[in-house]
Amino acid sequence: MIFTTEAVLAYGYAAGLLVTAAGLDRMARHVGRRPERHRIRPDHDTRVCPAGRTPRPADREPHLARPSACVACPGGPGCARPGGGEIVRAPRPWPHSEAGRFHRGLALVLVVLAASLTLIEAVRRPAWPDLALAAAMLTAIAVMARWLVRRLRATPAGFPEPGGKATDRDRYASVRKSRP
Amino acid sequence: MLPGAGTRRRVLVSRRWIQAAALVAVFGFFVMGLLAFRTYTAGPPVPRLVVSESGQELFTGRDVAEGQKVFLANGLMQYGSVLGHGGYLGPDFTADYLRRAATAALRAHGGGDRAREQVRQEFRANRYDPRTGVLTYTRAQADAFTALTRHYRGYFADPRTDKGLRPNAITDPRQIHQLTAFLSWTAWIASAERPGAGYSYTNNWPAEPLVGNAPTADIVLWSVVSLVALLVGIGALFGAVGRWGGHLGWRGRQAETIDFRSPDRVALTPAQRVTAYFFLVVALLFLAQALLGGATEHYRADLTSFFGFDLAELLPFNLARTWHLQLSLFWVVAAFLAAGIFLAPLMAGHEPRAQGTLAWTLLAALVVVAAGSLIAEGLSIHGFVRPGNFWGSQQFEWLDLPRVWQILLAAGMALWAVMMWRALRATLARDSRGNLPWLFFLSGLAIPGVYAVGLLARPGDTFTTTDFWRFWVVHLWVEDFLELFTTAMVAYMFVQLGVVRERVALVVIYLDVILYSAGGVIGTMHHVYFSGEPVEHLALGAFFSAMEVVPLTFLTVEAWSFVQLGARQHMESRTPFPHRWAVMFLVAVGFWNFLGAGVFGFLINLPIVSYYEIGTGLTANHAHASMMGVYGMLAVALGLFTLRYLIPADRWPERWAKVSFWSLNIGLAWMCFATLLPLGLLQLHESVASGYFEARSLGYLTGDPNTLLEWLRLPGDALFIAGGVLPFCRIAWLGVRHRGRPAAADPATGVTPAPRLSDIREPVDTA
Repeated sequence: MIFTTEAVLAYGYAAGLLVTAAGLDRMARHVGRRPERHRIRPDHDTRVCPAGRTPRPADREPHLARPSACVACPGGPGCARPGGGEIVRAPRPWPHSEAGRFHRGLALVLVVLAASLTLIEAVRRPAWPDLALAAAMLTAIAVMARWLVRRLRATPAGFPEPGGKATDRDRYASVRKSRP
Repeated sequence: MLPGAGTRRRVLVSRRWIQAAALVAVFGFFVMGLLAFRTYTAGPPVPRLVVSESGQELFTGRDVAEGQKVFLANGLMQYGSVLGHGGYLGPDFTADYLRRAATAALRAHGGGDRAREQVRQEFRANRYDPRTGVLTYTRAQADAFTALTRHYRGYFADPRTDKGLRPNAITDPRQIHQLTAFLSWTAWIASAERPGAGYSYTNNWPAEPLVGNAPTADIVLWSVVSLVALLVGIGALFGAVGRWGGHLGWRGRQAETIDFRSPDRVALTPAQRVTAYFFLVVALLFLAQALLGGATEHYRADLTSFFGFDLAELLPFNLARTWHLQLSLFWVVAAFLAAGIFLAPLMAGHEPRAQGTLAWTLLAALVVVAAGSLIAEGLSIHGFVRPGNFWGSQQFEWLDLPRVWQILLAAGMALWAVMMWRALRATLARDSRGNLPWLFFLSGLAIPGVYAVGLLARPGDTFTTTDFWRFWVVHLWVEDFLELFTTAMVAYMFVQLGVVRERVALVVIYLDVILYSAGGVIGTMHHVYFSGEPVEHLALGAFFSAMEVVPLTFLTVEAWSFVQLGARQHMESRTPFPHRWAVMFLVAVGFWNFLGAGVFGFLINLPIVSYYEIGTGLTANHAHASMMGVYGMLAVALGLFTLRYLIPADRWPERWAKVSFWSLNIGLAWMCFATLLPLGLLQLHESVASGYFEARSLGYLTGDPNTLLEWLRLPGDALFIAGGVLPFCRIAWLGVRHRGRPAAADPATGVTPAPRLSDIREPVDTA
């Protein structure tokens, strides 16, 4: 092998950190923006399901569309549960936004660590084939770091100010009769 | 309404939840009872007498028991390990004895293949006579015992400190003889075959080719089975969530639109105000624990000096690690107890007379127990206390505090349970036993109860039985019962804030009981694969502990749903949500629960991995990520939640809370990914490729790449302490300085009304 074992292990681990960082960033996307199965039409205060219909909520479970509507729908099995189609609107920004920021912050920490490991190894074993590997690794780290920094900047904490009004107020979510 | 319960409130959830939780818990503890029985009846024997083939007495069973006390009293379980359990700097003394004895025997037999086979047969043959209680060592084994007594005399009586031990740690020849007897017994059970089996009492652990120790068929089989169980469990979990997701977890709709009360408007009861001092003590213990962690880490990076100072003279590695572990339990538990004191009046609606005085008494008792036990451990490791002393020496890893302090700590927690009962008495009397106040109280009552089980581990008992009971505390108490109590507590916190409906919280708690009881109770046995237990402990431990990852996955997924519910309320409140950083610490708990407890835990959980890995860096990686990541972050979250009401709104140091949050998390991530994980992976490789003995040797640990990785941890540790712990200390100090707004007690009854944390703005809309 043209590379030393230590260099391969060190840069391999650094690459593993980059992959983990990418995984964390994906997690951040997941927690920061939950997929919405029904679009909200604020102008009409109604929802449009993935099949383009406007299902009414079930009586006992207001967050479920009536099962009859989904059973009859050709796309039902793909988006509905046995109890009916789930009406989930995208959550408001906080704390998902800040949880996403948390994941992206930790992802960036792993990239910094990968850079540190790569630089230390390059200083320890400055032989040219290993240095080529280090250069490739540093390039990947730089690209990844730039990408993550931009995404981190684009992820505000979004902590709500008192009295902040949501534009997509959800009539099914906020005020409902309590069942003990 | 329960039959015959008079005016009790009816139970809020289906009785099936209660029945299922009870059934699973009873099943788990029934199996644990059977396993306890098997521990005593199928564990390895301690011979009455060990003799050579010529009939010469080598040591007695009493020497083994006394040797174990010497081992513990000198803090050697916090330096190295026996049967894989203990510290990570020193060797595993079982593997160490076995290798050295086998090598000496090989040399005595002249070397070569025939000698190897002879050594293998000598060590595997079980010459214990159960009728007479006498174990006979071959001549080579007996000579090795004599030689190793000399070796350990030189090792422990070394006047230098370059191994991390205090100079002249053990010099008494009698104690050295007893200690060697204990180590020899552990090596004997590790190599001699169980009657009727083709493997040793320890399931052939440690891996040692000289005595024919290699993984057994059971180790491989149950690794595969537990892996399949995990995959099936996770598949079933997601299937169940898909099918019944609407009825599980934190889902559901909150009834009312609410306004959070400003902390300035929340008048606190006397006991609630005392929690300010609790959290200051918590913060200081946290600081001390983190600094001691820095010291233990420094030993691994530079064993010979602490920046030019010989630290081992005063604070040898084993003492620093003893205190580090002990304090981690103290500050976390103190935070949980304080949070319980804060929440109980909220649940009851009032606080009884003299509850504040009891809170002061409990705090004083905790400080005395913490200080007293730490001092006793220091005196014991420095040789001032006789081994096995009731007042001053015990030092099982994690159960370090001497027995008297252990009893006092259990008594202190019992006092806390009494306080909970006083506060909740009226509420409990009028509520169903299946509802939240009872679950909160009963899960709190289990804290002293299960902790007291640790008293069954006594320093002179057979190591196998002590390890069995020790893990009732280390695993069952910490990982299951504290988890259950904190789930109940966090659920109630958010019920009080009005962001989670009580029925939804109840379902989550019952689900928690079912999931953790299903995996976590019997899963405790994954710690004792190689402690001398019969093979059923390994089989059940592997299978059920693999299932533990399932609830961790579920709770991580569910954490987001719970936060989502809260988010809705934050937006609709006209007043600011006061618990931004408490919630963010709970988000961190979810993250570390999945990564530290789930991923890093499962990484070392399979018997085949544990066989090569136990007692190495990957265990430390899991321990740090789960203990600090889950329980530490949870304790800080509870602290910030409480302190928010103790510090006036205009003095609340929002920035320090933010700095603490980021620094603790970045520091912990750096600690794990920069050092503990890569070190552990390299050490595991070394263990499989070269041998367990080699992987645990000081020569390997202080080698070039390892030392570099240890130093690489420094920035993360520094950030953790300076940016994470110190700001938390400052916030706790502000809590003591202000101590919240006092509520007025009723002059006639002495009862203080409890505050409300939120107000209902739109009670119900039936549209």
